Amino acid sequence: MWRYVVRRLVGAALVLWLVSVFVFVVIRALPGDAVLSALTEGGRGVAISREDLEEAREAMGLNEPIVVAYMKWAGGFITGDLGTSLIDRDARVSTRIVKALNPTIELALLAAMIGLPIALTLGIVSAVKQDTVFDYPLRVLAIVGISVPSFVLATALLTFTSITWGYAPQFGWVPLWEDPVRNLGLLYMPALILAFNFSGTVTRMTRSAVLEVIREDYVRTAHSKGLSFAVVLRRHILRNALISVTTLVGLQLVFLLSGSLILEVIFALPGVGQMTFTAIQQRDYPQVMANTMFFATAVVVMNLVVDLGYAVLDPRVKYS
Amino acid sequence: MAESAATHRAGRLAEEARRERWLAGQLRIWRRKPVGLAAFFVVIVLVLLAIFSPALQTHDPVLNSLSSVLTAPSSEHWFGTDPNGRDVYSRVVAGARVSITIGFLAVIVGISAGLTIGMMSGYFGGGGDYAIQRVTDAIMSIPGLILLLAIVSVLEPNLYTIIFALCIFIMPTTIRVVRGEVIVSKEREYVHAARAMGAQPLRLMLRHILPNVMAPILILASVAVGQAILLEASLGFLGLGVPPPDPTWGNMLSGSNRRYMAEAPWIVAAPGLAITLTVLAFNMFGDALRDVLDPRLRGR
Repeated sequence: MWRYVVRRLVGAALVLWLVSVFVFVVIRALPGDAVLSALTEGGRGVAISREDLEEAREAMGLNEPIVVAYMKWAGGFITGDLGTSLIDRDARVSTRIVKALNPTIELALLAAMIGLPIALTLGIVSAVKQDTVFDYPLRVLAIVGISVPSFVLATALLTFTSITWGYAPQFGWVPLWEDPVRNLGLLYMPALILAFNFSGTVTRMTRSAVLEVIREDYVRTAHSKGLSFAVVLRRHILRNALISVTTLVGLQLVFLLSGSLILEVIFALPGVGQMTFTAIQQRDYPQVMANTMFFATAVVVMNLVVDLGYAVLDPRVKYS
Repeated sequence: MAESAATHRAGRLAEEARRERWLAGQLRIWRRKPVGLAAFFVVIVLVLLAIFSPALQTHDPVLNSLSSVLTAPSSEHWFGTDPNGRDVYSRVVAGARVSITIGFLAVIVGISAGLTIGMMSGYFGGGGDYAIQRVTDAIMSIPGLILLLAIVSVLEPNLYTIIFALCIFIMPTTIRVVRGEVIVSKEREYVHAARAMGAQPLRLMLRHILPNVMAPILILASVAVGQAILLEASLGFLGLGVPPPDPTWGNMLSGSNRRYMAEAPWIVAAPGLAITLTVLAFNMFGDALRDVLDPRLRGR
């Protein structure tokens, strides 16, 4: 077991290192004087002084050989300091990420709270009633959920509510503890849309996980012992199916963080996704690099948790 | 000699009979897959729409016309006109070509590259395999849209950079699926037998292992086209897709169109429906394909 844990930890560290090299090389491969264009196109610059330019180049490590610059930047990753933003030059990129976490996490949690119970129920019903009138519409609904782009759904909802009820939802952001009602009023629409996309995926995963177990010999045995269906479902089918559902859903949860990027842009929520998009538009490269690392780290950590969790949940897993 | 010719002929007949049975079986299965079949027809229609796009347009999709701004759907403008007076129907048809071209090209290039790397990785194993696996892990840990935004913004958004970025997105999944299939296939008896008879690795891979990989690849490709079109539309929506004035389904839903969507919902309805139907069709077709090609998973 411990050897397995150590091996997975080393693997995760290796993957993160590769991501950091990839991110660094892609940004360093920028043609032309990236810093100059960042400062002129970044909205601030009317006249850029030589000192400004020099300072920014220094901050991005463009005056150093690439290996040295990489070492400094990657070293900063460990201490949590990935440099300062080119646009908002008094702020560290890491501080800006922490500030933007709140809307993103709340939106993801809300979407998960709405989507998870519905999707799990529908997935189980769909599997238990396979190839019946219950199953077909649920399968179609699930595939629609994964196919409708969030920005199309948002556009449709906003247009529809505005035309039929003359209703326009508020845009922007208020923290939950300042004004809970207004906070939920701002968040419910993006949360519902995110939940719809999320539950499409989860319903499908749950359905196939349950179907896999339903065909197992021990389930047939349980039925033939004369156990009631409810007992077989609860004790034999769900207990086993939920092991793989937990791991699959765990990974989906982390993609809620990045999946909200477009919704944050549409609904003017100052989250990490919107900040990443703005940073890309403004060519704020230190910020883009840091945000990409942030999302990748979340995925890698979640992967690790899920793998280890799987090993703990399912005693049949061999640590090979 | 005569005997061997007879055996040869018998073999060929058996082969033909087998093929006919296979075809009959396929037809029987597809008849029970009305949704998959419908999705397939939508895909065909979309491809035809993309091929004959210029001929099907009733107006110039990029020509502004101040005399017909935001007019409702009519016999002249089937889907109405946008804030610049451009014909929405013609723009949707023109957008189909962009979306379908990007989707198919990205998937063909991405899957071919992924297939080659995945075969090598799975067949030869060892240190190279380990390195390739970790690199795919790394790319897969960056969320798709973020990966695309970063690559496209660094390279300047246009048709080719978007296709390139989508290839980078598609390759890791392909490599992983192919590698897994190859690792299982290469231990099968007939592969061992072929190797014992002196077949070289290239022949083993192409003749004996590749056929096993084709089914999962086709399923993957169908779903990947849908995903690629969705991501391309997302880029267009965020203003980092194929640059305007060229119409794409994504950029038709953004920019100044958003200001008028309450008064003139047709300007967003048509492209929105086009994206949704397209992605849905590819996903449903992929699902049906999985049922047909992989009997083990039928109905799951």
